[in-house]
Amino acid sequence: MKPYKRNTIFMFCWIARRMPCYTMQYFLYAMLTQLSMFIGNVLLLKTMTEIIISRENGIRAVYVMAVYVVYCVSSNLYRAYFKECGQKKAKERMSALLHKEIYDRAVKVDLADYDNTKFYQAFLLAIDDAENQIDRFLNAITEFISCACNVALTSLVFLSIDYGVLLFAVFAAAVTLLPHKRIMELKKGRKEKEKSHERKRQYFFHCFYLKDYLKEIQTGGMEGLLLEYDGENNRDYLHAVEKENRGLAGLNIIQNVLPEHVIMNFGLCGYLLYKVFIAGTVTAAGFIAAFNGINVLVSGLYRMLGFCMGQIKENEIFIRNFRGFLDYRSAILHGGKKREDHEFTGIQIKGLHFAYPGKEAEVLSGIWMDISARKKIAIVGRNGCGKTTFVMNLLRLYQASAGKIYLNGIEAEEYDLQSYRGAFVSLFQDYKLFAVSIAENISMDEEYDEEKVKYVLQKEGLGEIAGDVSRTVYREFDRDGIELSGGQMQRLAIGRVMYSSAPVMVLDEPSSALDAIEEKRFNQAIAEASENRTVIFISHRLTTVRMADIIYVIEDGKILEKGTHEELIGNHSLYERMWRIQTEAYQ
Amino acid sequence: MAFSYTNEKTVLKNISFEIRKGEKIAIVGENGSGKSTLVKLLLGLYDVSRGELLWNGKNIKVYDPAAYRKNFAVVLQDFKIFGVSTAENILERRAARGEERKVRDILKYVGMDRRVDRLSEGMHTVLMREFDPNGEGLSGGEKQKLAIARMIARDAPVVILDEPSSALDPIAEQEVFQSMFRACKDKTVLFITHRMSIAKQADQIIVLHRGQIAEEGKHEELLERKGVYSAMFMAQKEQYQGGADETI
Repeated sequence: MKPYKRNTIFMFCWIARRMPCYTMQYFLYAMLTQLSMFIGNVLLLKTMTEIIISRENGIRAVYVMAVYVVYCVSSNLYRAYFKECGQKKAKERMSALLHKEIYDRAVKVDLADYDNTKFYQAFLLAIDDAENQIDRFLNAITEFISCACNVALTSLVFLSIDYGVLLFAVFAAAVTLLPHKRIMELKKGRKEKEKSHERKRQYFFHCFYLKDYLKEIQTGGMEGLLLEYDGENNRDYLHAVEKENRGLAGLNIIQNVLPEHVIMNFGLCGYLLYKVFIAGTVTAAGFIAAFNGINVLVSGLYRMLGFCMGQIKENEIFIRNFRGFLDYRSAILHGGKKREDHEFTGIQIKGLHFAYPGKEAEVLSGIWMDISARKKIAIVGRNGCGKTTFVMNLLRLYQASAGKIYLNGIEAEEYDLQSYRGAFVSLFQDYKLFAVSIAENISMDEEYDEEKVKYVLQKEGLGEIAGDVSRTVYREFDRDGIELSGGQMQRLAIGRVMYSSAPVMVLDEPSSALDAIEEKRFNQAIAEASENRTVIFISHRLTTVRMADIIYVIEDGKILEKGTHEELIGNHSLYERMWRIQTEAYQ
Repeated sequence: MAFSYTNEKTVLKNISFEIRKGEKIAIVGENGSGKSTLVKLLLGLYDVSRGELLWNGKNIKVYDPAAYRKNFAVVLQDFKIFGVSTAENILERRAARGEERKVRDILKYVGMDRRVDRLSEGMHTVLMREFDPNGEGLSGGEKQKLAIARMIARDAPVVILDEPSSALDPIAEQEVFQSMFRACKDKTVLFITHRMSIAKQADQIIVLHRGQIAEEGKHEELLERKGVYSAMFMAQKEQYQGGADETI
């Protein structure tokens, strides 16, 4: 079976399984819409005309009309209900369902894949506007099947009138459909160009309305360049789609003029008149039904084979990416072992090598470390030497290219990923605070121990905001939210590490934004919080580093030297040089 | 060229000082003392609630804000690197022919020349992955050096730096500051920091404490005064030398 047919069936089953009632309601809606056309334009006219001409029982006419009216009213009531009420509610539920499934998986995507442009673009296409894509898909499927019924029924009636009518209808439909493929191609091409230009446009838009960017632009001179690029982006897009737009305009004219006026009105009319007057095989009722109803048949065929098929094919890209996304498997090797919460004996790192995907140069070229429980380990080195990359490998956010990590004596790859990472609580240089309450930002969970949160805040010198810990951080969604200064934010983030009970603390430049007094307080707080825990930290502030049990100095992705502060000073190497520079000023 | 102003605001109170052309001034203070706010006021990003800000003797409100800001080259604490090429991030416009030399010289100043050469398209590599599959990411410290390069390229008479070296290792910090002072020899420089080792090199230090000017003067003078500045300096010094009771 062709892949797109498989994907279509997959998507339909996916939707039907999750929302069976909605799917059926949708079908009913589509059927009623399509059948109304058949019943009103073909069946009713033929029946009523026959009754009237034969001057038959008038009661029968009333009876037929009554049935029709009942059908119309109930059908319209249902359709109105569905459109205004049923569909909206269902869409909400679908949206919630989708978000849950998408977000659930999105957080499990490897960091490495985010760096891969092709993956990232496909990923965006899968989740972008997923609800509407699914809705359009459902619409297309139900309409396709309903149109098919419509076409079948109408054809049956036409066959009872005259075979020729059917032929005219098919011919008209064929002409309408002829340019369709080309039209779809052009539309698809236009949409793809739109997407890539749209992303760039969004970026420039952000630059011009986000406060942080605005600050940078106002104090600098980027405005001109950004505007230039934005304008270029727009011009390029317009220029690029010019060809498509012109093609589409031309084809639209052909599609609309030829079939209706020439074939249907002129041709069919002539044929039918011949059949009525000369051949005598078609009655008045037949003429009316055929002449009026051919539109139904032709547009039914067009909707089916043109519009619906086109829509389904368009959705195929989305379905393919969506499926790929659902089937996504992380490249980070892991097993099923669970870590024992109360036990932590240490971490050994043996010969770790790592290069970012797609890049040849290794960032880590063989790291060896032995981290025993309750030890304080410092990692030091020049910018770009691989410190943060190392930490990310330790936390298994990336898959190392060679080497092994052992946690509690067991290979890291054997552990369940969540369980392994649960051994660590970390604070990165580019940590993020979220627009949830202060307490939740610390506990990183919807539940929290309020007493403990307040204690942590006090320890961090954030007593002034400990009053109401349910206050939201950031004002984006909550006008009563609190805006914190850079130093306050860093201290709040440090609070996370204090609050957590994970056995290993990982800190990446935790005190870079702190002033002297804050740093002192920070060192004390960390000392207290890490009494029975293992700490691994990266820092340029050698005042923080010097108290570590072991200091590792990394250069060019390898360990250059290791030891206590005193030992390294004696080495007269990189560490000693950095120490000397930092302390010079205080002599 | 001279600056002077007085103002009162809930964040800053009674700030009066003068900046003379060519001076190197450090603004020192704890987090939350109002340092960044002061910079924003100087740049005219916010309005003073009381008092006035004078540039060359005239209130800055007289000048067109954009034209006024052209006099400054700023490196913010939360500076942004844009999704354009390295060269364009530095020049803030497209690189014209023959400007590669100039860009390379500036990159050398901040110690980024070899790193940029290693990028897939050198200085024309777009610094953001989403648009360009060949785009690259830089580390925190590398970005900071780029921001400083941008400041140098702007060549404005007044340079303002807000904690410009927080993400740099000690060696890089020293190198960058040395090159920066060299590049800004004839300029007026205002830098905000809470690292005394940097403040030490200024001609004049202004100490902000809780939104007010606590002390003013040269490094040695302030140490002798044994006031707020001296206390901060001692606190930092202590960390490097003693504090056996502060085990981590």
